[in-house]
Amino acid sequence: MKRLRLLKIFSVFLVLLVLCCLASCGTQPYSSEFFAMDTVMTVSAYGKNSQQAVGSAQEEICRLDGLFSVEKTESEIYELNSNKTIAPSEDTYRVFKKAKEIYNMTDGAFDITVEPLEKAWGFYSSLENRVPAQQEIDLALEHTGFDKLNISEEKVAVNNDCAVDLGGIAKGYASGKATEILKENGVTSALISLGGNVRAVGAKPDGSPWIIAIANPDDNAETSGTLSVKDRAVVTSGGYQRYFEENGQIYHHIIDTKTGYPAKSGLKSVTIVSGDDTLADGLSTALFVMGLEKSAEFYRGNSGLFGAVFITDENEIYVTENLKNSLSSSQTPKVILA
Amino acid sequence: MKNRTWIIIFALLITLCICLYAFSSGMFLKGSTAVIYQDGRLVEKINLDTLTDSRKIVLTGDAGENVIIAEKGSIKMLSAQCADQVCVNHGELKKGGTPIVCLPNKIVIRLEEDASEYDGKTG
Repeated sequence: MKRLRLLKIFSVFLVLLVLCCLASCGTQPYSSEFFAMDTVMTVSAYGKNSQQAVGSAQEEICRLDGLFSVEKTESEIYELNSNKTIAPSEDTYRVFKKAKEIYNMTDGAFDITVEPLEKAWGFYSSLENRVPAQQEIDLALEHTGFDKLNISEEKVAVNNDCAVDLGGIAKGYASGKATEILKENGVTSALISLGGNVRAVGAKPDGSPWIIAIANPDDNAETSGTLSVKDRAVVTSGGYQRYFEENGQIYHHIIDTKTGYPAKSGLKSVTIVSGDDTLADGLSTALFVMGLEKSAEFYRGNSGLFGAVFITDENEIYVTENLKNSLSSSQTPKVILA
Repeated sequence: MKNRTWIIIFALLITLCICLYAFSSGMFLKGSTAVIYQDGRLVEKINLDTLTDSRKIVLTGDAGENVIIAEKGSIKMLSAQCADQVCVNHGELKKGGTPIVCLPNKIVIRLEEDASEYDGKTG
């Protein structure tokens, strides 16, 4: 009798031992950090097959960088900007189609034909930052807008003196493709970080949501809050990310293609949460340009597509209704109702 | 068997459970991430404990080619085309040990501790 009881206890411990082993399997991610699209990228995946999946995702991101780069001479975009016409690859065509969709839905606030303006302001690594003369801005403005661009599956063409820059959408598209690849390889839990673009694939290995911090626009080492998300892209655009100072004035890299000047919309940063990576990337730029009021109106018509967190020039935090329960912040955010 | 023997067996099993959990949950794994820099730029970051296959990383510079081999739990410079071979002679990189450095090609391989309050950061 006594022996039987001891045997029972022994069995319980054996089960516990097995459970411990099982629970601890796969708690360490396989990570890779590398340079692409002018930024440091990290892909971390959990579980079986993660090394191969991460390797394939990294390969895909680098391949897309080779297609979309505005400065790499062998890229399709470089070819388009030089020769004014290309026969696009499937990926390039899909990005252009999506860019046009976002351009139309945001009334031109997101515009990939911004290249002549970015160039005038010197926001490319081969150029020096400078404040262009009004005449130069006016000229560049004449060469922006989607009406200067013809897109079809067979051919993409731009007018003379016009050029495109996929910087506001390429990383989003890349993180979407990387997510697809990870999932195809059986990964159900991963985190992709392409510079400021974060992509949560599935949930954390224990099933809980990923905690994504939003950088404090005034101090990048600090955070303004955190978002709990599962299977979503989280993308931030902010004037603080790239800027230069001239005569005491700060000029950032998010150019409003309606004025030709860095967008002055009263916002320090916009964070978009969406299941569509490319849309999230494009909207973060668009809503930064649009400002809080227009963005709130835009949200009311598209609340099924995305959620957003806004940090204003006065450091107030606004959150869309569909994200209010995911956001945790030291200050109480104001809610934008759907 | 006597009760005492059983107690000892249980105690051993519990200890084993705790050790296994601690090891695989990363409690003792700090310093197992290797970072490779070339000319001050991060080239690659590898978690050595989750590697299932060995990985070969080839870097080139003014002094020719360097071949780095990362395997589960270890990383080393397999070959270099420079004259002094200091980095190759360094052998495997160990926890607490000095980084592997290839001066001619400006390569540094070191171990890094992982620590974070959140999973990712946007902005």
